[in-house]
Amino acid sequence: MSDSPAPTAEAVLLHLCKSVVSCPDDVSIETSADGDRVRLDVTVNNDDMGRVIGRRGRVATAIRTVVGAAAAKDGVTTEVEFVE
Amino acid sequence: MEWVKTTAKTIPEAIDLALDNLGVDEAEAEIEIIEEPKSALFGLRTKGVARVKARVKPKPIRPKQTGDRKNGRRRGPNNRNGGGSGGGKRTSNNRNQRSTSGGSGQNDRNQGRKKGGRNGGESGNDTRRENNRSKKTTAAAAGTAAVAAGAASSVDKGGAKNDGGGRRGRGRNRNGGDRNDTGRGNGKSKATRSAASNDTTPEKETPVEEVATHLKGFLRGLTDAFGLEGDVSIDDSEPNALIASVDGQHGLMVGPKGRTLDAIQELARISSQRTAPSSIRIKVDVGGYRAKRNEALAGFAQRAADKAVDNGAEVALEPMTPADRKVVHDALTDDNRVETRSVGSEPRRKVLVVPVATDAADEAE
Repeated sequence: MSDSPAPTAEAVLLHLCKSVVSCPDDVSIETSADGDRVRLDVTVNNDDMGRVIGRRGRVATAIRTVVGAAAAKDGVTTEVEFVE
Repeated sequence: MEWVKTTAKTIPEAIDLALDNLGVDEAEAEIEIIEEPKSALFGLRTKGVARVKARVKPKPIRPKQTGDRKNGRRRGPNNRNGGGSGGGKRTSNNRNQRSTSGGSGQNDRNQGRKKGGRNGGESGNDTRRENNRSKKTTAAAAGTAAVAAGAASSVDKGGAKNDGGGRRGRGRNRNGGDRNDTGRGNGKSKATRSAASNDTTPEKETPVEEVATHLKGFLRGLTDAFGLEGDVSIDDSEPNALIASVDGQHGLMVGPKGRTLDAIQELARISSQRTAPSSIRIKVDVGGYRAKRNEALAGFAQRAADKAVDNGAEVALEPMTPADRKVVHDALTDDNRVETRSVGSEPRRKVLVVPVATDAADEAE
């Protein structure tokens, strides 16, 4: 993962997602960079979609906040998307 | 786990706290007032405490009930309990349980419900649940709650594929099904039931440890992922609460106005909740940030009070999180010159500091 444009953000995102889902093994992240903007696409088990998003997106918002902080360390801004 | 109980000076504060603990919006929570402070009608200068309990609103079984719940949420949860939704089912259920375990239910209530002693309408609800539970877990009433709880949590974890889901979907439905207890007889419901029993009994050794372990793991992993160093310590000195502290001045994990920290706390709570359901409150601190901030906030509140008194006009503070608002309320409770109350709705709910000019001041409320 060392070639990732945002290794910290990615590690944090992975940890957070695995922490809130019921199938941690099904969590995967796809990273694509466009300059300083890094897009992180998270795929989770279909049953876990609601868990990473949460009521009114609360979980997703919290995850984005924390990942955003981690991304500061990588010197990038991130966009976290949860994809079906 | 289900219900979170909070105590505060006023009902709104207690509700705020409860919502904060649950980590959901008011619209998604179901709140019951267990105990109102005396003369709660007239603001905050009251004796006694406000006690409420709240849980995440069960997924409505039928749309009809949603409306019902909405009505009952803030003003009158008792309405609902009194006779509102699902009354019919409940009654039959009730009858059932009574015939099987009237005596122990009584026992149960005394044991587990010390706090809720005065809750009029609510106890019907609870008694029902207790009765129900007591059929299988009379042991819980006899003080071996910890054991029962431990067993319960493990069953929970093993049996239910996922606790979060379990509670949100099945569990809450079943609880919605408190009114509708038909599912209770099934094997798996036992787990949730005892877990709930755990919720209402004073002893929680086992779950506390379990939650603490999980919380520690979560924060260690997070600190690692951040590429930071810092040990995680857990303070369990407060009853029914865990304060996890990450060592080191990691501004990164605190963020502007502690927003990152709040997000981390919320995720820690959710994660713990899903792994080891409990009613334990979880707080996360990094480098003593919260303690410092609360101190500063209390000072700020004090200055706001001074200003309000000087100007003879109310001072509106900026919108804050429920936890921060509580700090402000608490800081000014003993200040007889002012009263505080929260106005607005989340996430822009804020505290008003109102000078108490004369005796006739609180007409507004």
